[in-house]
Amino acid sequence: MRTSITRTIAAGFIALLLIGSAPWPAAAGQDESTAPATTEPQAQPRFRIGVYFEGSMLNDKNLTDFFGHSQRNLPGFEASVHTLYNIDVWASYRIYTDKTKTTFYGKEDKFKLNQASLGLVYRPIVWKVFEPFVGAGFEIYSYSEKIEGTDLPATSGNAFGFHFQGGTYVNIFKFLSGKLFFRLNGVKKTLAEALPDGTTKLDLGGKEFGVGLVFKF
Amino acid sequence: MKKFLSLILLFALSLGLQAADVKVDIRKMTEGATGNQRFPVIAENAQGHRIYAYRGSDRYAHFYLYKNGTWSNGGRIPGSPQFDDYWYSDIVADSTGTFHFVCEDADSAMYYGYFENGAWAPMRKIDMRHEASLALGVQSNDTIVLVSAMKTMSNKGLTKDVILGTKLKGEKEFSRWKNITDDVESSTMVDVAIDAKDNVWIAYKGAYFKDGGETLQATLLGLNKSYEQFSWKNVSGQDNAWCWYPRVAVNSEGQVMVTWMMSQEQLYFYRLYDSNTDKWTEVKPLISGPMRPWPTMYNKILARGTDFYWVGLGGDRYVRLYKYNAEKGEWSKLADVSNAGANWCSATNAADSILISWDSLAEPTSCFLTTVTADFKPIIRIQPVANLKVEKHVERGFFHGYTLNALTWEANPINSENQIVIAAQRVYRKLRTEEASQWVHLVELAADVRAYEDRNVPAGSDYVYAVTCVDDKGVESPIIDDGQGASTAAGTFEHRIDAEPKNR
Repeated sequence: MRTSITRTIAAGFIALLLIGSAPWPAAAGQDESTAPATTEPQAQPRFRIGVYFEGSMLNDKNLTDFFGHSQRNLPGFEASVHTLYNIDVWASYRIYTDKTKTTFYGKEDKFKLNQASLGLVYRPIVWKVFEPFVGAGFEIYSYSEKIEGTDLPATSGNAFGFHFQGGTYVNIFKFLSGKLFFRLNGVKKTLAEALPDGTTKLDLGGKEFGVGLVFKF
Repeated sequence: MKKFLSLILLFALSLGLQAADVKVDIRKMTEGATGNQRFPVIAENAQGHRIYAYRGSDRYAHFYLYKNGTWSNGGRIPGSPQFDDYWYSDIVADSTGTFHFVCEDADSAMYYGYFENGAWAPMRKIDMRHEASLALGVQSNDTIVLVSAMKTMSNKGLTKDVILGTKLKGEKEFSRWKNITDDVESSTMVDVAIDAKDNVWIAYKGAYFKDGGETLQATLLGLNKSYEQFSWKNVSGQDNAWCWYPRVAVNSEGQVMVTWMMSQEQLYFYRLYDSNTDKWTEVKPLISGPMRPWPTMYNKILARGTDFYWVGLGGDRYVRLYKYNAEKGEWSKLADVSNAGANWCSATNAADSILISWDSLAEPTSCFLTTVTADFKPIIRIQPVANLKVEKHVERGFFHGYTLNALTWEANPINSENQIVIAAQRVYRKLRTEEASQWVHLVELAADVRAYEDRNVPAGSDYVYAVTCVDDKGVESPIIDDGQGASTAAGTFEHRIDAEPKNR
């Protein structure tokens, strides 16, 4: 089930990139040679593909207390396609993992959160070095917990939400930028089956901040 | 004067004959009572508590309780009817320490009550047409076996058959009645003994019709643990005999001792049956004058390890205790039990003594208890595990978890000291508020296991646990259920959860 969801997310992600890579209506039918130089003073790269390293802090204190870490550092991948007016269709994928031991038998308990983001990023000002941006979009998560060698059942599920983000690209070369960002996620879920402490609320939203490298072409 | 001196000499000789290491303590049980107190029986449980039950002069069943070295008058047994005629009764203790008491009323009805956790469950009438005498036995799984007789109507007219009823652990009443003699004979006066394999040995007075006449024969019948007959023998086997009140006991080696009183000979007779070799051995009857019993017949055989002991009323009405000498095939006197003539006697094994209950002809307002202490083989009872501890824990991941009670214990050194081979251990559980009869068997473990986790218990549950030991013959130790014993522990203990999530 989880695999099919991941595949669906990946397929959607690729589809959006392909759609985004097509000319938008405003640009469609407009010959590049006849486009006014003032609207595109400098040709922007259409694609940006990046890797980043972030600190991720989930809101759910139950969960972070149980696994013992309030913050996990993890790599992520992102890609964006420029559309028009300095607006990009942007997507990202990262995997939040944590592990601990079960409370009595001490079996290894692994938690995994697949986080996919899809949204729009707007770069209002394009300076020579800095390109600040803001963005918003959707969060599509799938989570799982696996405990080896125990009679506790494995758990998996999905959650959906939104995000806001801001930051800046730091242009290093024509084809390479650095990136600083901060992201706020809101992803809440009511569980059908209560947690052992009785609560049914699961808050997978949180804060992310990080740095990355973005290749532009 | 000469006669008096002779009597003194005889008395001194009798004292001298009594083994020096035998101690006899006679206790008057019904001090201050008025009217006739009769037919006392006694039992001791694994915790050393005793119940002494008898028919009071008001014709109700009464009891005394012995606990922590002290006897206390318990008064009437709750639910006891006012009996028209109370004669035969029996009392036994099961492995949990519960006492089971049955008595008869006027050759027509039986009443049953049990004493558990310091209180009686009120006596209730047993739904069975009863006839003359009864006996109780306890199997290793705490099934109580009641053997009695009932009147039946057949083509021979009104006859009497031996019946067997059982009460499984946790049940409140006897049921599964079985006619053992199956309306062939007219049979009454029963006794029962259970061997280490849970076979049921029943001695009864069988009435046989021969050449137009009737003889009464001491008969031994063996039933396996499923109560199917595998052995039958007319033990007395004499034509035109009149045998009364047969008694039976089985020792740890599977040898079955049967005794009966034969009115023509005015003697108690005995025969020993080895169930392993199917061999019968004659035992010399007690022919000394005082033990010629007529017109009495009350006696009791006890098995203690491999030994047999016999208590009986002599013709002089005095009660005496004998030990069986297997080498000589005869009984040897161990002690004078009564200091006055008696009407009735019964006996039971205690951990380090033999207890004989009797009533007095000379002092009918009192019933008596004689404790005989000697170099008896101790009653080696397999003991439950030691130092049982229970701790409540939670085993959880983030999304799922359960509460568990973790049990730990140690081997009981008493078992190893007595060279008892432990074959298995059994874990039991009940709610603290439940009765001792409601222990639920959870699991059987290997002999060397020292821990067990009872998983998925409700978080707010208040369970207590017991871990018993089972020896290589299948005999299980008792569940000590007084809250202080070694085999039980409660499930509300230290909350040792290191990673318990905090509430939001």
